[in-house]
Amino acid sequence: MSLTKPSLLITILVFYLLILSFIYALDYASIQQEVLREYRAYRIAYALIAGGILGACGVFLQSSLRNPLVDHYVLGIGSGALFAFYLSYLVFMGGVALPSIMSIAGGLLSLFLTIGVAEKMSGSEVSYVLSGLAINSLFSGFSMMLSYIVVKVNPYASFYLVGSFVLATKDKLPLLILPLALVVTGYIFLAKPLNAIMIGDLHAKQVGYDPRLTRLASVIMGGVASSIVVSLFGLLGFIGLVSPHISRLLLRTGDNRLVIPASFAIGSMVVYSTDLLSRKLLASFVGEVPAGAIASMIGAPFFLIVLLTRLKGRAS
Amino acid sequence: MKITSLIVDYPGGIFKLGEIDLVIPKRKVTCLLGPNGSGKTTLLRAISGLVDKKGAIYIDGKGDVLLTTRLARKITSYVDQAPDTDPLLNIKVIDYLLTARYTESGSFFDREKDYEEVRRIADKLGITSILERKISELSGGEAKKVMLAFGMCKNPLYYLLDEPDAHVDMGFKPELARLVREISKNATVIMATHDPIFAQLTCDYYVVLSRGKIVFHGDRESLLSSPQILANVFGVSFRKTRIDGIGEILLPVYSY
Repeated sequence: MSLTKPSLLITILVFYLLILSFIYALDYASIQQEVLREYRAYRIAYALIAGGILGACGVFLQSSLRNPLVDHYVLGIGSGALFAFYLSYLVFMGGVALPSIMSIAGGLLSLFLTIGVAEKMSGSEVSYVLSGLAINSLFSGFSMMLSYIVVKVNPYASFYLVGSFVLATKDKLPLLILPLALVVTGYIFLAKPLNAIMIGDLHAKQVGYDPRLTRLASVIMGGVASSIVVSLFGLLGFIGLVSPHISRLLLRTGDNRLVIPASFAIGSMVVYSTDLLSRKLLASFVGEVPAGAIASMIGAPFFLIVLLTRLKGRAS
Repeated sequence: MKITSLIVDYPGGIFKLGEIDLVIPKRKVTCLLGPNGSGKTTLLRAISGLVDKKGAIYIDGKGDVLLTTRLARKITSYVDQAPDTDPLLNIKVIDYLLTARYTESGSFFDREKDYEEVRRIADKLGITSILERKISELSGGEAKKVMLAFGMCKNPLYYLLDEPDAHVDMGFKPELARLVREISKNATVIMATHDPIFAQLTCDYYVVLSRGKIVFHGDRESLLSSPQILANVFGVSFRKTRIDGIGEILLPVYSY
């Protein structure tokens, strides 16, 4: 006896809420000092929401490009957004909203560069990874360079290179709500068209969707939402790659109506755990390691496994 | 179905279909015969509204009803080769079949009705046991049945089958022919094929295409009476033979 899809969705949501209440009880409610409590509340919320957004964006990008090897980091969105973020810091000397807007432009620019180059190569799954690697290296190099200058204005600038939640300031909340709203809207309107587009463009047309419009909407949505997250907390790679795969494995389906919320929940929990690990465990040995670094340490081997599984059947 | 002055132009001018004027008999199996690049696939996709076209197609309704792209996508099923999807995207046969119901169901989740329809058709085609498998893991014959099942789940008035007999064992062809005959009881079937024998054993009406133009259309009698048409198009000679239980048939004859 298997569960129906609506009840599976409710199960995912209930499970997620249960975990959230655990986090609330253990990580937040136990704190005594008022000031620390407020900071902690923001930090927890940011890690959860940012991780969720990146997890969901991973599904939007993978399904619309029909490619299980991509996320906002692999496609170069992250480093493009980061580069634009640093640039805006230099030009406008800080602010919160403006760097985010610049990041969107930077993220979309590098995204379309990656897609353009990949389609020129062969359009295959691996060509997206290779093209993303090149675009990534380009913008990472520039970002790295700029970070040395920006660090003089903003001492925390280097945190953005991997991603961290140390800077959990109040003013970031409204900016984080925007990509969250985008992801929820995208889920409602794009989950079904994405199911069709995953099978093929002709197939999508046949069941009544415009494949180009669906793909463009998903890719832009994923690009914009993840760029904003990067502008607030830094790169946070591999979350968008790992979460959809775990979701599909657990759910045993590729149906985006379930995979998107599941991937949101998993991305959310993965990022929260890495942040928890960084501030609880590692803080006592080496000082606070950025959450993004821990995410990469876990995510990159996972990416390799996916890459190997994918290529084993095809090669030779 | 009446097709008038249909033209499909591909950018770059490599290939052009048309101009096509054709009447396709209702609730019959019409066969598109022709070599590679003769325009079979393009014609099927033009009818089902999947490629841009000039000209008009009318279907029988109250008088002639213009088949718009929107309407075409709703009332036709275009059945192609098996999709090439990544195993890691985890698309299951049942999820694939349920997408056929999207044109009809406006709700976010699939309705009980949609599941019932999919299960009924899966049962009919004997693919119930593979509904939970991934579409990337099907054998050639299974994939053909699943594709046909997708076409049926859409519950169309017109089936456009693009080489349903390609890449299948000869032993599967009789079953395929039976399935095609069965769906033609309630719908019009237009089928493209390479195989003149399969065509003659399965179809009622024949359209022969060559380089984007129609060179012949007619029923079985007239096809049999003009073997030189197939000979010209395929570049091999055809001989009329009588086989017990089947009757007269044109068989390709070639040597090197």
